Amino acid sequence: MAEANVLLTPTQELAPGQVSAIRNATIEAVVNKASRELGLPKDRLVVRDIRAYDDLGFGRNTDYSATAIVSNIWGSFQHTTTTYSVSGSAGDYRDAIPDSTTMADNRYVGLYGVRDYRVSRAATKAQEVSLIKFNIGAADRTIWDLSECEAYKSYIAGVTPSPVVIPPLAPYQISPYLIGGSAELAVQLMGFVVEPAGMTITPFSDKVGAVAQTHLIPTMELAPGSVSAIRNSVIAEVLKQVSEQLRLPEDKLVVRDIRPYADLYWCSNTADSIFSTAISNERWDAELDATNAYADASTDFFDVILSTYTSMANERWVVIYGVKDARACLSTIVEPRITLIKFTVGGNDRAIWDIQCKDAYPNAMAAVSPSAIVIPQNTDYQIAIQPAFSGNASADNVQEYITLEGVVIEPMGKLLSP
Amino acid sequence: MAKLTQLIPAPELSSGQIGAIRNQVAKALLGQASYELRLPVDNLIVRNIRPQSDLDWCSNTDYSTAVTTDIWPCTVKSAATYKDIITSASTTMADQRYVAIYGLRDSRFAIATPIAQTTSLFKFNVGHSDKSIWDLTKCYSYRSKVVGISTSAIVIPQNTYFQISGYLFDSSAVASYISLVGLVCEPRGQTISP
Repeated sequence: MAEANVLLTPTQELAPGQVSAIRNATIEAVVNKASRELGLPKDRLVVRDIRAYDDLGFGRNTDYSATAIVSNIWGSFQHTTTTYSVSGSAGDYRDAIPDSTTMADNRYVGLYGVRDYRVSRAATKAQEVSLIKFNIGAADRTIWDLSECEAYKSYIAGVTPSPVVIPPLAPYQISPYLIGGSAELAVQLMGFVVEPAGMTITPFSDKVGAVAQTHLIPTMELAPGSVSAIRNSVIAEVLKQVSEQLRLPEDKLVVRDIRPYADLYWCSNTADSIFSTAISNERWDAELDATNAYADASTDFFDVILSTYTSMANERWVVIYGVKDARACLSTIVEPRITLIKFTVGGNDRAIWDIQCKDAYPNAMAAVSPSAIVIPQNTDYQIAIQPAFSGNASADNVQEYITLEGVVIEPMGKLLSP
Repeated sequence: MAKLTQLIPAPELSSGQIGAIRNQVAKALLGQASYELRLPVDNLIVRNIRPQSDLDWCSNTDYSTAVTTDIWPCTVKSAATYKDIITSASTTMADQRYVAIYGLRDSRFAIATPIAQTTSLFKFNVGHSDKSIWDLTKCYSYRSKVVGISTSAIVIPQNTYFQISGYLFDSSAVASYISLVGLVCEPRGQTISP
């Protein structure tokens, strides 16, 4: 029997591609376990991002967080004019999960690392968490030391080849060790959920026999060339589909950038109250309404697209395979404002991305997914967000800078004639 | 094969791919110029674009305050629509000159205080048809390398109409440090004699 190597290693001390290798091996192991234990073929399972609150209840215990967090945020966020911080007592493990919590039935959570996203905050704060202890099924499974990763200023993350797996109905607790008592939270666990398709999302089933991998991966955690490989494979697959459906050879099709308004009507919806002003021109950034954004009280999604526009144009396919944050290129970086993005196409929720994963990488705030969201011609779609900001009537509105990574595929001459 | 006109952030390209694209664009442009001008390739040169002398970049006051020197920076105006960057008097490429554009750069991070940009899309019209629309915003998640490259170059042949339009989305006038990634092909001696 081999020894259990439960070391957390800074990702910057790993060879290129090793983070991907660990992630892929972990996913394969958990998918195999879920398939075997649930008696389901792999193509009936999905891999998706963890929702910090809905799946784990992370930060809901006031032993760890000064205020019980009831939204899908891993750490601090602006609440009116202040920011939520860690609980006051330092020098001990503090439980982040409500006592006596068990994992949902039919749901597996795999955890293989941790990210520290203080480096992409408006101002870098002290990290008040050193160790993180995982107790699964009433036994301590591992203890990770985040502080070992903090010698690397450009980005701070660590992974382990021995993942922590929380199986269905198992009791679990995650306990960060607090070394200070008043700073803001900035710890995100790297991992994923495996569960039956339809339990939370119903992704496109484009590969028979394979699990749908809908999770989002920061580009900095991919092997060299992987972003190109994902982009090229996604475009090739959808081109084939478009060519067949429009009965046009591929050389009569154009692949081009998405126009945020003219193609998607991005941030056009003020009816759902999240945006202070409806965007009606070609820009990705928008202003969140301080009166209506309430991250601390709800896990509601807010629709981004005005209902009038939620049908894709004729002879136009939009393919979305990633997300970016343009706040990286502001003269002064502002706080992240959005936690999750949900894509609904043809009446089904296809993916929920936790876009906080990119926030550990201030020089590359970008992430891609191996499973693209495809919005075919004449098909209903909606994109919805959850805010990482809670305002009130006296707080200022705040700007968010999320952009979607993808392409449009349409017949040559519809818009462009290259 | 479909025409892949999208802009790709440089950090998302595989190692060596920018060099490959540049070489491919230069080779194709040389081939086209050689064929159309009936000159052997060794009588042609490939050089950098001069923003004003070759394109009259930012000469149109619809988009920015008029620039009359060979620099890329300008001060863009406020609007919420496409604005033409090239003044109408300069929208025909010079005789015996071919320009290929295959990307965009934003140099504002090389200055002391980077300024937020207000141009999102760039539209290229050549011969009175829109050839590409590039979204530079997608490059703004990479603070240390704000460059986008396309695998399909925009080629402006000699004596051909062209226009480049920027989509201005904000109501404030700001300094812009955006430049085009491209090259010029022309007969040796027309501008330089290497």
